[in-house]
Amino acid sequence: MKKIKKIFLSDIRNFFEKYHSLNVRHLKIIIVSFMLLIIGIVIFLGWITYKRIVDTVINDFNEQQLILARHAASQIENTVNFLKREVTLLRLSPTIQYQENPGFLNRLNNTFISVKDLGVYELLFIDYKRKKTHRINEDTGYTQCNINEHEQELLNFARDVKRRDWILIEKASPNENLTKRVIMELLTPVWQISIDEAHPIPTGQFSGLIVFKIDIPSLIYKITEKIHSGKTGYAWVIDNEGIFLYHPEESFIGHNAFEIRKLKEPGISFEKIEKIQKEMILKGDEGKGWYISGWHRDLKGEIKKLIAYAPINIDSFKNKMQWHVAVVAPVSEIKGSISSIQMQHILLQAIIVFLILAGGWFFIFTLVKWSKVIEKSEEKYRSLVENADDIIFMTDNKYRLVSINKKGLEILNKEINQLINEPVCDIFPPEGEILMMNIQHVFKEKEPMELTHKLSINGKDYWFNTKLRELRDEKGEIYAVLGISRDITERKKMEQQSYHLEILASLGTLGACVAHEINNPMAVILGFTDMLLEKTPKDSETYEILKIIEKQAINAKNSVENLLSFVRRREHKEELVDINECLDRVLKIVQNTALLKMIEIKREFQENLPPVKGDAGELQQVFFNIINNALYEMKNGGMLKVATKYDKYWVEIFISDTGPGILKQYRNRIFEPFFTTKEEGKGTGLGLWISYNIIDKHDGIITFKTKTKEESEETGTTFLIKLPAYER
Amino acid sequence: MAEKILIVDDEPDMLRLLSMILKEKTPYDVVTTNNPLEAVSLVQNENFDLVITDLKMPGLDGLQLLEQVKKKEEDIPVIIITAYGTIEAAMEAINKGGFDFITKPFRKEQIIFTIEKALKWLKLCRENRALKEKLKSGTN
Repeated sequence: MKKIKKIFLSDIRNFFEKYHSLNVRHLKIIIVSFMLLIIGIVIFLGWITYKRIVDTVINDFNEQQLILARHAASQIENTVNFLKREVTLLRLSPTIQYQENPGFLNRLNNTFISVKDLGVYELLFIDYKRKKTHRINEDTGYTQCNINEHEQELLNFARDVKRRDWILIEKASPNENLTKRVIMELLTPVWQISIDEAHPIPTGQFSGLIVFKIDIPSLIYKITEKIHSGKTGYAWVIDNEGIFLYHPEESFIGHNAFEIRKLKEPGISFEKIEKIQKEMILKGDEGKGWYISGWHRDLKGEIKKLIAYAPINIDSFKNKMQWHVAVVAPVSEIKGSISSIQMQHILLQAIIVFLILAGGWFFIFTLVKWSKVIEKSEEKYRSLVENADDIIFMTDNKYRLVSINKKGLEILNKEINQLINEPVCDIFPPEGEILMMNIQHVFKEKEPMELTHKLSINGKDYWFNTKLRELRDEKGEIYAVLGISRDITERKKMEQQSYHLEILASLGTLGACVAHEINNPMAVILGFTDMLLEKTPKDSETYEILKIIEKQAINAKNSVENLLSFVRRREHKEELVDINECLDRVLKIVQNTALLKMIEIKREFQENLPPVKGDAGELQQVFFNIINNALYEMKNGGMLKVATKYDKYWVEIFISDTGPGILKQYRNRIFEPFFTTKEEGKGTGLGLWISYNIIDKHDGIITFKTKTKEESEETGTTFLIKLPAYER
Repeated sequence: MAEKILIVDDEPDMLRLLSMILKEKTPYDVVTTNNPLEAVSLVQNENFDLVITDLKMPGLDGLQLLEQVKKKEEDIPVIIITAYGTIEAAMEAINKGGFDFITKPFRKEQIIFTIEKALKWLKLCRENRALKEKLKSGTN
């Protein structure tokens, strides 16, 4: 609290010099650093987000690919199962078993038609009895010929009764003209086990062998053609030996995947895919990953690809066959779509960052501009406050001083440390309490106040006019009261003097009226007394009483005459008067009195004092009045000091006594007519009034300084008379 | 025949004092009034040899009465008495043809002396006028 108060106003300069400008500089650095930090964080977060998005999307994408692979695998399995079902249906048909024409051929044809779209390019029925092969295919339609050696071998293999229910799936060698490189044969023996009208009892004999010759790529193609992973992703299938059963690049089909890749792009290391293929795919695992390829469709070069793979299980009585489908797509394709989103994202971030930057700079710029404006304005107001000719101070709500300006320190004659935090009532004696009550009022009633109060510092009296105004914080609460005190001592003096003069003037007029009103009855009283005195014997008591009446009336008449002597404006002489001479003359008159009263007279006359234009008699009367009063007051002796001085335009006369001084309550009244502190009958109370008027008439000034025993150990009064010096 | 003096003052006690002084100390006839308006008609209708008037009176002041007297006869001296003695008032009174100016309170000797002086002056004026008349008719 104390610290905060200290920095206000008078110390505010130091505060600003110390911290303000530095603050702005600091603020700039802080804001710029803060902005850079924010930008850094934004970029970092953006990068992390991008990474995560890429990872997530790639992962999701690959998961999709895995689903596709699984789907493809099950589709292929389903197709093979369908073919197995078809061949079973055919095997169980009596028409086929007993080769009953014409149904036999029709049945074969119908089955071929239903399976030819599933990769079956040729359907064979090898007749065991007749050693004939019935062949149906797209190119030649139906043909019949004698069985060849291979077919004989197959028959021998199939006629074993143990293999009666077998459906054998076997890989076959490429056909003669190599148009179909990867071929699979689906074989099943036909036994005469079914019944029909012609054969009510089955013979149970071996009839022959049904063979579906299947072009595997065609079978797979029917399924994989529908698979589109991303824009250009595709599927490929290998068998358990790593031979491509299907690949969109037709030249790969039938070749070992490891070899054909190297053959196509010898410069690229296929380590990764080979590892995946060897360790995962060929082991029948399902999974996903990535690898570097040398191409993708028409694209060449090192391409990172995502791969998802799943096994295809094909049941056969002889062995379990396993193929593997893989769905691949280049990462760049996914990244491409992500990066376009990411680009938008980065653009947005850039815009935001730019806006933050621009906003920040604008803020700083405005702040700096404003701080300069504020600094200037503060400088202006500070200099106004500091150089003000008024005391400017501030108090808190406990009526303690918070700040005060230079003028205040000068007048109070104190250091700032001696005043801060001190109660206002102690700082502004003797009327600090009144000031404090007014400040209290401002705090309570929330309205400005104005008061005139006295201030006494080191025995010097000032008069101040103080305006009190509330200071409010941003919430509108009064947190302090600002006081502006104007030194009105001179004005107050003038006012008092002019008020005094007015009183004197009005008393003059009043005096004249009173004189008139008194003179009339006096004339009557004195006139009749005079008349009666003549008629009264001198030794009578009546005569004596009449004499008393006459005396008192004459006293009254004299008083009025004195009073009127100035109202009447007696003729005023204008001559050059030597003040020293005048004073000497007066001192000569009073020196015997002074001697009797044990009063020492001290003369301190300045030599070559310029003359004063005026009436020597009148001026002597003034000096006499004042000196006479001084001697009267020094009842137990003392010192009368009479001094003269020449000061530029003025001849100054000092008349000092060591008497008891003039009591405070009389100080304003001593120049009033009829005012006297002397015992009754010893003074008319007109001496100083007359003196005042005489000096006034001479365009001079008469003032006094006095100290009573309450005020000082050395009591006494000094009258100062200033008369305009006559310039020769 | 004794000279006739008119005394005007709004204060009856003052009138009584003045008439007492004059009656006891001089042989003149005294007429007094405390009504200045009545004084005007008295001046107009009767012949006075001297008028003594207060300066400040309600209704009509001493200077206005002085004018009325001068209208009636130029030579009749008017003595003005006032309690409010200023040089200005005295100067004005004299300028307007007042014979003398006495301030209150006064001594009876002062007023008697001034009256004597005024009547003597009136006498001289009138004699002067008669001689001039005589001289005029003589030459004619």
